[in-house]
Formats: sequence, C-alpha cells, structure tokens
Amino acid sequence: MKRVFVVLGIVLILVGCAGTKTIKLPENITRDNFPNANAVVVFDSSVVDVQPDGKFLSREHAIIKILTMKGKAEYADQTFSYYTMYDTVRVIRARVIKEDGRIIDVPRENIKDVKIPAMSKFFLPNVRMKKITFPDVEIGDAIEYIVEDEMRAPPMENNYDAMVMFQGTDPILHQVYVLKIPMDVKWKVYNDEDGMVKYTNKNEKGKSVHIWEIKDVPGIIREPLMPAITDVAKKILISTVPSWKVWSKWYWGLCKDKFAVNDTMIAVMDSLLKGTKTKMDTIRAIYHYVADEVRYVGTTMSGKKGGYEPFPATKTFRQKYGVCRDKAALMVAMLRHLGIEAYTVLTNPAMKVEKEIPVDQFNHAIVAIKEGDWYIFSDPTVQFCKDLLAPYEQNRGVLVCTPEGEDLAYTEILPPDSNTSNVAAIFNLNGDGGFEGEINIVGKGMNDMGLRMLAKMLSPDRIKQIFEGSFQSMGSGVAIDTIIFSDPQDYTKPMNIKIKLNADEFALVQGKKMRFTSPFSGGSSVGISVGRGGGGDPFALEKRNYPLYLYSKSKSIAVERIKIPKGYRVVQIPEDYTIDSDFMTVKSTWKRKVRSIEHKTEFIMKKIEIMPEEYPSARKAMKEMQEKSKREVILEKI
Amino acid sequence: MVLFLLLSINPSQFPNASGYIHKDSTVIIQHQDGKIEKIRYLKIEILNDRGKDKLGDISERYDASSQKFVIDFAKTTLPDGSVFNPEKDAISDVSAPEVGFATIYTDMMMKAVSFPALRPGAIIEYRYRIEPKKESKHPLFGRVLFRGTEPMGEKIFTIVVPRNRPVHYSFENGEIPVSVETTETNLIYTFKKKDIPMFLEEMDMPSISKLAPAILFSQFESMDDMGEWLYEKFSPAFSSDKVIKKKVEELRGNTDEETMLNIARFVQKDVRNVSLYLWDAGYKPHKADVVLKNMYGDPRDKAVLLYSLLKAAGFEPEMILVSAPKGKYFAIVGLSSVLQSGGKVYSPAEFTDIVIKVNLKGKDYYFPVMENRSRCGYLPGRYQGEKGFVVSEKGAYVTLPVLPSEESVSRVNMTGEVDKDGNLKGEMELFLTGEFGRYARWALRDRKKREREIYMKSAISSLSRGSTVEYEFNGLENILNDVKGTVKFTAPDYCKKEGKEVTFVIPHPPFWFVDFGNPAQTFRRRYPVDIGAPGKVLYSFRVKLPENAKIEFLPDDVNVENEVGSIKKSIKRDGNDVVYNVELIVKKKIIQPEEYRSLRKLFLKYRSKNTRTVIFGDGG
Repeated sequence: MKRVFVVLGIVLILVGCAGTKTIKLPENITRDNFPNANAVVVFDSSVVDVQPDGKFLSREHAIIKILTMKGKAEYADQTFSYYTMYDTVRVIRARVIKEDGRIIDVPRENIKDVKIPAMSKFFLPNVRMKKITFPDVEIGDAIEYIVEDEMRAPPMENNYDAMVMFQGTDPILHQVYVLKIPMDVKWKVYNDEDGMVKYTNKNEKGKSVHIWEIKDVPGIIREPLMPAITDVAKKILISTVPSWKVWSKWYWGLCKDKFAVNDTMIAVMDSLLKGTKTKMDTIRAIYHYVADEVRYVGTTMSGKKGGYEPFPATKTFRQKYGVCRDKAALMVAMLRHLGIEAYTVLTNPAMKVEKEIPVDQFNHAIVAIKEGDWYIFSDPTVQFCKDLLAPYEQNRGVLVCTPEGEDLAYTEILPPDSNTSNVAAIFNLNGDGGFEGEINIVGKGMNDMGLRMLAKMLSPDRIKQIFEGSFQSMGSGVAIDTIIFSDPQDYTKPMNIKIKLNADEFALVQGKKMRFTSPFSGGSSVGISVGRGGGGDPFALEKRNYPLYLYSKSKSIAVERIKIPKGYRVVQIPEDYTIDSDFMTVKSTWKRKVRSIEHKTEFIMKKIEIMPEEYPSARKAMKEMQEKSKREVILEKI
Repeated sequence: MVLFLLLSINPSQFPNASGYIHKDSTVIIQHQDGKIEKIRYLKIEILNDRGKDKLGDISERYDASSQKFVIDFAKTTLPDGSVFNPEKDAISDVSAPEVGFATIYTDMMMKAVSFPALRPGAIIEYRYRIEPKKESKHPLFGRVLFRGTEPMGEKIFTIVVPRNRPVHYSFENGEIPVSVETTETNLIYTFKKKDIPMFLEEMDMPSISKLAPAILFSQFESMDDMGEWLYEKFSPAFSSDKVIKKKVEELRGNTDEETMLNIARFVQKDVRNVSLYLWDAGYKPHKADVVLKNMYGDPRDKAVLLYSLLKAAGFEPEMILVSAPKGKYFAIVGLSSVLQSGGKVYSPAEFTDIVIKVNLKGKDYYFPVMENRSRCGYLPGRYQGEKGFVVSEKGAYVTLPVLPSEESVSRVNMTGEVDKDGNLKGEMELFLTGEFGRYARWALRDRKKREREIYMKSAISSLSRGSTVEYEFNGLENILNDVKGTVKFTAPDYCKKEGKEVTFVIPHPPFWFVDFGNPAQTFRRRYPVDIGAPGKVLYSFRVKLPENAKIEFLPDDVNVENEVGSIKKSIKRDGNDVVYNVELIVKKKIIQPEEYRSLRKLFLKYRSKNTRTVIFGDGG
C-alpha cells in the first residue's frame, strides 16, 4: 500500500535550472548503451518529512528517459493513487523534456483527478487517482514530474514505516531517499551484497535526517518461475514501530469489535455442525462454509481504518461477499462463538515478508486457530480447497493478531506427499497405431485444488476443450469421449477425474514394427507439477540470476498399462532408471505382462526453491530425465 | 413460494450455464424535447457457484455530466422467499475501466451493484433508469444483440420515439419478432424473443457480436443522411495548416510510395495509441494539428491526422469506418446494454475502428490507424472481409477485401545435421509476411534484449534440454518491411536412440509466430473458426545424416486438398541428406462448422509426428 519513492540525485542541478527553457540530459542514455531497458530512470528522489503523530509530507521528483515504444506506453502516463480517508496527492510539476532539450509543460487539462476504475471484483469509490498524460512524447524524450503526497491520517498513529525499492525492471542512474523524522527508526537494506546503497545521516531542526543513495542500478529482467521482484530487488525497510507485537495488537484492536454473531448465524452454525464429532470437523465445516458461500468482492472501504479493518461479521454473513479481511473476520467470529480460539492473521502470499524490521508488508488476511502451543492456519478466501490453507501458502510470513501481540512467524514447508498427483492410465493399442484409453487422475494439495476449481468454475464443455487441447501432444487427433469429475463439493475425499479418450495416430507403424514412447514417460504427470510457471521453460537458461521458486514440494506417480494389439509381441521396452539428486528423484520401471506392458514413474520434487548456484545441477538432472524418457517401446508383428 | 418454485428452473437443463436470465428488458425513450432515457430490467437466477461470481455484480456505464443514474429497485430473493436488498455500500460509483488507460479522453462513470446473499437458486432483480440531464442532438441509432453467454427466457427491446421521428430497423443473423404500435404522440417498437440459448466458448471463434441475432436501428433516413452527419463530425478536424505541411516535408521520401508509407508509419507507430473503441469518447475528433501536437490519439484522432497528412502530401485518402472487435471478445454479453451499430439500416455505431485507404498506381494500401505491428500497407486479418463505410461528402458502404493466402506467408528454410548419437544442429532462415510478420512483432518486438534471449531459449529448449540458440531478426521495429530472421541452434540428444537405430522426428520451427497455431484441436465444432487471415506456411529442411547412414524408414508423402486449403508433405533422400518439404495453405479466413472436418484433416496431417519421422541405422 505504500508507494515506493525514488531518489533525488541530480535534482540540485535541475532545481537550479527550473527557470530555464531547455534541459540537456546525459547523451549516453541510448538504446545501444541500455539494451535491457525500455526506459532509464535518470534520477528519482523522495524527501519525506514526518511529524511526531505520524503524519507526513512526501515529495517525489523523477526524470525518466524513454528508449522504446514499450517504454513510451509504460511511462507516458503516470498514475498516483490515494485513499481519500488517509492521504491527498498533488501534482507540483509535470513536463516533457524533448531530446533536443526543449521543455513542454503538461497542460492543466492533462492532469486529471478521478475515481479509480472498476478492476475485476474491486469497486472502490473512495480510492482516487491523479493521472498525468504527457503530450508529445517520442522515443528519446524524457518525462519529469514532482508529486506530493500528504498523509493526513496515518493508519497507525504516531508511527512511520515504509518499504523503499531501490531497483525495478528498468535501470536507475541515481536514486535518493531522504527521511526527516523526529522519532527513532530501525532500518535495514536487503539484497545489497555488493554494497551499492550508501547511507549518511545528520540532524536538522530537531529531526534526524537519514539519506540513502544509490547509483547505476541495473534493471531486473524476469526469469521464468522466479520469486516476486520485491523478494530479489534492492530495498530498504524502515520503521518506527518497535516490534511485530505492536502491529499484532494494533490489528487486533481493529478487529475485536467485529466478531459478534446474531441468531441467524447461530442457526446456520447449528445446521453446519450436524454430524460433526471433533474439533477439526467443526473447523472444517466453518472453513468450507466461509470459503465457498461467501464470494470475493471489494466495495467501499469504510470505518475509521477503511482498507484495514474488516466489516462486522454479521454484515459479511448477510451479504455473502467480502474481501479477505472480511472473510477472515467472519470465520474467526463463528469459531469463537463455538468456543474455538481463533484470530485474524496478516500475511502476504505473493512475496516474502522480511522479519527484521516490522514494516507493513501485508496484502492478505487469513485465520489462525489455536492448537496447543501453536496455530493451525486457514485461508477462507481460497475457494474449493480441501485443505485449510492453500497449498501454495507455504513459507509465507504470518502475523497472528492477538490482544497480547505476537511475533512474525512463517507457515511450514510441507513434504512432497502433501501435493501429489496419482495417474492411472490404460491404453488399448490397435493395429493401426491408434488407441482407446482411460486416464484416472487423483489429486492432493495443489492438484486437488486445481481439479476442484476446474469442475466448479468452468463449464463441462470448456473443460473438455481444455483437456482435448492439452492431450494433443500425446498423439495426433486425440479426442475425448467423456470426462467425469467426482463431486467437487465433497471435501471428505480427494478429487478425481476420469477421462476416456481415443487417438487415430499414436504409435509409428514401420512395416512389421510398431514403436512409441509411453504417454506419461518423464512426462505429462510431471508437467502437472513442473509446468506451472508462466514466462517460458524454467530450465531453458544455462544459468540463472534469480532463484527458481516452485511454491511447494510435490510428488507424482503415474502408472500406465498399455495393452498390445493382437498379433504383436513386445520386442523391446526401455530400461528402468533412477535419477536421484538434491532437487528431485525420478524412478521409472517397466514390466512385461501377458498382453500388456506396465510403466510406472515416480517423480518427487524435493525443494520449494532452487538457488542460482544449485540450478546447474537441477538442470542437468532434468535433462537426464528428458533423455531417458525418450526411450521407445518396440512391438513386432508375429 | 409456489410461484417462486414455478419460476425456478432446473439447472440440469443448462449444464454449461452459470445463470439463467429469466427476463432482460430495455426501453429507450426519445422524448419530444430530444432527451433520451433508458430503462432496464433484469431478472437473473443463479444456477451454481460459477454464477455467483460471474453474475453477482452488475455494472452499467453512464456519463455523469449529462446523465443521472437512478436505481428503482435491486434485490436478491432466495428460494425460501426471503428478500435481501443491497446496502448503501454495495452500490458503487467508480470510473469505467477505460478511464484507467484513457483518462485524457473519457471520464465515463460506472454504477456497480453487488448483490447480497447469493447462492444457487437465488434470483436477482434489478431495475434502473438512466435519465438525461440535457437533450441529445444526435439521431437515435444502435445495435442490440439477442443472444449472449447465458441462456435467456425472454429478451425484450423497446424503442419509443415521437411519431414524426420514426426508426428504421433491420436484423442480422435471423429475424426477431417485432410489433409496432402507434399512439397519439409516439411510435413504440417492441422486439421480443423467447427461449434464447447461450453461446458456449470455443477457441478461435469469431466475436459473438458477429454471430448473435441482432437488431439494427437508426433514425437516419438514408445512407446520404448518415454520411452527411459523419462528414460533419470529421471534416472540421481535417487540417492542412503549416504545421501539417511541415510534418509532411519531414516525412517526404524519394518516391510517392515512400512518402505515403513514411506518413503512415509515423501515425501508426509514433503517435501513441489511446485504446478506445471508435465512439467511446464521443463523435467529434480533435483537430489534426492538435493530435500532432499531443502525439497520442484514439481511432478518430489518429485517423484525422493521417488523413490530413496524406491529403497535404497530395494523396487521395479514404477514411473507412470498420467493425473489427479486438480479440475474441467473450464478455458477458446479453447483460450489456445498447451497443451501437449499423447495417442496411444506416447506423454509424456499428463501427469500432478506422482504416485509411490509399490507391496508388492501381494498388490499394490499407492503414488501420491503431495498428503498429503489421507491415505498413497490409490489412491485418481482423479487418479483412469486414463491412466499412467511407466517410466523405458522399458516403458509401464498402467491404474490405479478404486477402489471398499469398499475402501472409511464413517461409522457413532450414539446413542441419544429425550425428550418429542423435545430436541435431541447424540454421533457419525465416521470412515472414502479412499476418506472420505481425505475429513475430507481437512475440519479439517489445522484449528487452535479455527478455528476448530468455524467450528464444525457452522456445528452442522444447527441442531438447541443453539446446543453444543464436539469432538475429530484422524488421521488428521497422514496419515498412517484412520480418526476416536467422536462427542457429543445437539440440543435443534430440533424437531417440535404440541400439544402432536413430529415430529422428523432423522438427517444425518451435516458434508460435511462424505458424497458424492449432485451430483444430477439438474433435467437434459448434461455431466457425476464425483463422486470422488466409495464409501459407512453407517449410523446408535439408538435414545431413551421418556418413553411410542407412535409412530404415521414411514416411509416405502427404497430399490433401479440400475446400479449406491444402497440405503437402514430402521427405526424400538426396544422397546423404534427407529433404523435408511441407506446404500448408489455408484459403479461407472463416471456416464454417460444416467445413471444420476439412480443416482438422489438414492440421492433423500438418502436426502429425509420424509423417515426419525418419529412422536410420549406421549401415553396418
């Protein structure tokens, strides 16, 4: 929620030039010199002046030179959003600096203040934006702006905290962040092993002035399946909040009056709990109710701390919609009414929450249920999840918000068995090289969630199209006859899907021989686990600059039985193999049966994250698996 | 309660639906004073959890400066009869989505209602009015679809106009029952259809706005009437002042063609796009010199600038309004309000975009003003075959051509070598024109150097892990040329080895932009397939085998020709080389469902691995 402020470097020179009609930027900022940039941030500065009550005024001054068409599309409009109950944004200066140094001021009508647009399921009329549309921007020009943000009502009074990014996806030539503050602050720089961030401080008019500065920072180029940019970029975390416990107690304070229940809710709880025997049964019943019956929609943020404090549980229950904090509060309210100690938890599933400095890095709320010395965590925002916590929410920072306050902790990393897919397939080959077959997939963890989501959120027709498309790699002309899902509403059993299919062309008929690679060798079931990432093949690069993040450990087992056609005998089957590395284990075994062959592949991914230095050996293992999985089965006509 | 049960439907009747629209009624009233009012009523039943998400929040745009949004009622009724009204904070006034990226052009608002207490079986009822604050000076015109993405029990569209301002109407994709009533002061046109099935989403289907039954209506009396109105909107914005002339001189080339293409390239590529549909920001464009100064524009503004520059340079451009919805457009249509459109009835609102056409020395050049990835002068597939209207003193309807397959060619020539261990290496030369050039620019142009490297390495690694690649592309930035490229690669352990036999599946280039994709993945087809544009894929691969290799297996040639196109494949031995040639031609842009089998036949043969597999031994 906090905007990242960039730093002022050459501003002193430019302020001096404020009255001039031309500005000349360094000439070496060219596409040739910056081939990995759509734009270059020439300088970027923020000066933040904080008051003892936590209110502050920040002024951001930036000059960005455009190098490509995409850079023009990305930077020629600048947006600054603000929440009317907390802050106000003012545009002090906006202009274009042409390549020849001419300055074009942005006309007033090009600076608009409007409500932010509807976005997906968010309708937030009290969030606004200041939008600057820079005119006459061409490649080689620069844009410049000075924008002030006045924080009139800080969410946590008498405190200040910020996460300041010192690196983005485009290079930064010079960035400065200046913090003037009357309170003591803790701070730490992250991802700066090369020591590029420089720090100085001084005192000025009763305030400490902290200055962080950096020069010549390269942009981050995304790699497939890398962690969030905020996890790997240079950044500083700054906070006056003494500890995580203070945050925990603060948020408890916002939630504690929201947990009341009413008679209607009690009646519903009574009916939900019919047949439940144990505490865990109760928790599951309440969790599935909130997750599946309350849809995700964000409307006006209300209350003194709108955007932070949830709606009262009775309201969310009545309207059957809410955002994460609303759903979490509802689940907590219901559990507490049933005598189960539960609390709201602040977390962030998308990025790492750094522990050392207590800065608000949260964007999500879940639930903690007290169990012995610790907690069971549950995320009622995630629909169609058999498990209380979504399988990808592993190793995520969690702050349980209690009256006494808690320290930041992390969710556990689960073993591979927690995320499995079991595939059992039978293929009846015919003499023309085609097959009829049946595939049965049983999922656990992410695979279970994925299958449930498919069954609930897509039409049967669409599901069939998707599977038909994805099975084309198995053989030419694959057609699906039927798909049958188990009941996605039945959370007592793992989700399974049964697919009947056929293909005209699978095996290669070579005179008297027939040859093929088995459909799941090394194979498609692995693809379910590995092929999650967008942005390309995560193992394509010879080396990586950033970790490869897999969200969870996993396991898949595929057993396929291939019935050979009459009149054929098995001449060759591939050799068994095992690959065992720090990263993964693969076992492939083949057996000849009376009129069929059986192939079993077990794949275990042992790590949740592969660091750059570990990557080459992981890649090697994947390569070895790919080579070995190419071996063919050869049949011969008798 | 009994009535509720009677109204409720059985979800199993509609297994693919998320909801059932019991009734969707829109009334447009043109008052005597010229003010236009809209009244909408919706009754929707939620059938399942999908329906809660898809249909639970209903939004409608309105212009706060000239319109007032009034909600008459909004409620959710549950199967047990209990009624829930949205609370105050469930009704949101936010900016319409397009304001996010086109703030300079529009401040359109959106009223969103989030319906409470939804569950399968719940019924939403919603009635609202958009009341005018001032009269509209424009004739009434529009287009309404009568089929959408959920099944409908009844859809009604009513137009009420003063008796002296009748409405002309016609139908697309089938007739819709209509009644016309005359009162003392008004004419009332009522279009009503019952039991309307839903569209199901299929890959590569045309926009459903092209497939759905639709009413076109307009108060324009004739084509000239509409033409004059349009010309009055655009012509004041044309300019030939000194700023325009100066720009023309900057862009002048050595020949007329060069000058024309330089001007087009400047407007298409250098003037940044504000991505709105044609009338989203009103009817009157900015003046050409203002657009030139701003260096950004929506379709109207960019068209006016391009037209003015070409005219000032001595050309005779034509401004053609076209209907070309972006993407495959599968929004929740059927709930949307009046879309604006035209046809035999003269209505400008059908058109979403503008193309400028110039005929130079007998050849037609097309410049879609918002298009910056195609070679200058090429008409991209999504405009081909579309109806258009020429904006001039005397307007006229035209149909844009469907270009022959020779205009979109993907030609890849590859040479390579396979060794006895099954390692493959090769070099490809790519030459991509028309649609394929556009695809290549989509895939590559906007990537930074390292991003492009990652992309190319990912693509090549589909051949085998451990592959390497070097490449060079020309023409990605310069839309005056087609796209060419050279790619060198190695793919270790590409082939399968069984003892002394090597199975070598000749690879197709692993880049999506050299191909049609796979539009024939499913066994059956309900709706037409939109291929993009007719085109040709020509691929040849000469690969050297190891010394003394003995070929154990070569597949038969493939030769299929049908009404949709043709596929020819051959693999021949030539000394120590194997030469593979494939020619895939698709002759049509739109393939009808009854032609789908023919399309699938071509693509199955094209994609088949078995028809490009070579097995060789070591000859020992």
